[in-house]
Amino acid sequence: MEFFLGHYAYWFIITLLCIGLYTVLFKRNLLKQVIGLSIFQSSIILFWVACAVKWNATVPIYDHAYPVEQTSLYINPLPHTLMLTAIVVGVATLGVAFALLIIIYKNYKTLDEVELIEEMKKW
Amino acid sequence: MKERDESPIVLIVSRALSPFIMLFGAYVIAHGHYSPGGGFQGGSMLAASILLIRLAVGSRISELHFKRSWGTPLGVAGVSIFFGVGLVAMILGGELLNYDYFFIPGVTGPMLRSLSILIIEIGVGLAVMGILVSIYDDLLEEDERREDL
Amino acid sequence: MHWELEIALLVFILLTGWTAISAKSLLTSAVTLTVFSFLMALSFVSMGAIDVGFTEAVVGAGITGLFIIIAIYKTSWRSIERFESRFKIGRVLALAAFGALLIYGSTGLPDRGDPNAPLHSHPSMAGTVNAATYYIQNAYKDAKTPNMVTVILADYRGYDTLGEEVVILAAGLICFLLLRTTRERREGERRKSDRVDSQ
Repeated sequence: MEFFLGHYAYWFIITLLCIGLYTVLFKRNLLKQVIGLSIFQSSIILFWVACAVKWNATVPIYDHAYPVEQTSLYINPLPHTLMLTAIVVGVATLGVAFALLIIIYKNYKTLDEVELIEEMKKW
Repeated sequence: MKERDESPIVLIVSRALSPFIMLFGAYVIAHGHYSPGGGFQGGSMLAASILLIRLAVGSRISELHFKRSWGTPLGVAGVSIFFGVGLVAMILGGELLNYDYFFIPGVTGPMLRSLSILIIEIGVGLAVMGILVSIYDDLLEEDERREDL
Repeated sequence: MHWELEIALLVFILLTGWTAISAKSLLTSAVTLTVFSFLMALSFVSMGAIDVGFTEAVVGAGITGLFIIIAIYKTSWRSIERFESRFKIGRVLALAAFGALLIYGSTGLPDRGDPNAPLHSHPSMAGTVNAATYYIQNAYKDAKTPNMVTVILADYRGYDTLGEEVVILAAGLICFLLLRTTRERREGERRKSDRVDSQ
């Protein structure tokens, strides 16, 4: 029971990671593959934030009632900082991915993976 | 997204809400020291307030609100503010982004670091806002030759 | 950290993620991805990461859905995914092996929340000062700012933030260079039409 309570979050996050990888491997539409990559990225961010939790600890904002010498009263703030920038960078690179998809559609008039490979073999 | 939306409810509510969202975004940037917030969150809210007007009113009319050519220069200005603080600290004697060597008249010690963090958060907020609006405008760019001639 | 709330949110996150990728219409995927991002923001806040939850709520639940809908509008407005997925044995084995290996590896991680885990322990495993405990103990003394995440982001780890900002700027410039191509042709045609009118 202790083992389950200590590890259940990791198993859910690994399932979400496999859902994201499943779309890239098995779906034919390129836009769906980009959505799958976005789900993959969100699961990684959830994993980092889930590792940083401590029992009976409070949010990482300094409070006079919780002395700062006992660091087990505050949640670890370092993974939060790294994931904050990762979310905004993820949105910017999602914009770049959609720009590439729009240019592919302008030139080939299709977003299907198998049809695209056949069109590109003709060149 | 190109023309104005026909429903009057969408037009009135979005035009009434957008300045308050912009004000709340500026508040979130300035209160990053005392509550959850900071540069990235506030910059995204500022971008959201501008994108709301672009969705509701159409691309041509919202040029009067925020021109399409302002997005990328704002992004570059935000990164320049961040980098400029670091260069001033380097010129005045320390390493890049070492706030103990930064110059604000009249403040030293921990207050100097607190104010330098505020300047950097403003730079980050402007950069995120400019780039997110610029990416939206680029994705929606279209051949406008037929409309102009 | 309440395990009942977290399990409920994680189950709904899995359900909306599965719906987003297996819907036949792309517009349904876009809207369900917005719900997915909003549930992620709720689960971040329930795990105590309030700054990350704020950012995910503003960026994920608003701007990501908007970009996907614009991409659907510009590419194929019919927005129906033709032809279902095809079954290949090599890819199925690779995915199953990947998932099984990760689950086996996750049983070796320490219990979640233990303050004596190597991630949070006070002198680190090599005997030096642990970075996170140093930041927790000295953030208010060094910068007079209660929010520790802001101090780490802009003061202790300022180089990382500078690098990430340059990456965001580079992504914006890439979109600008790829897609804004109509300006020179438009001015050339205008000059031709002026010459025609003046004759």
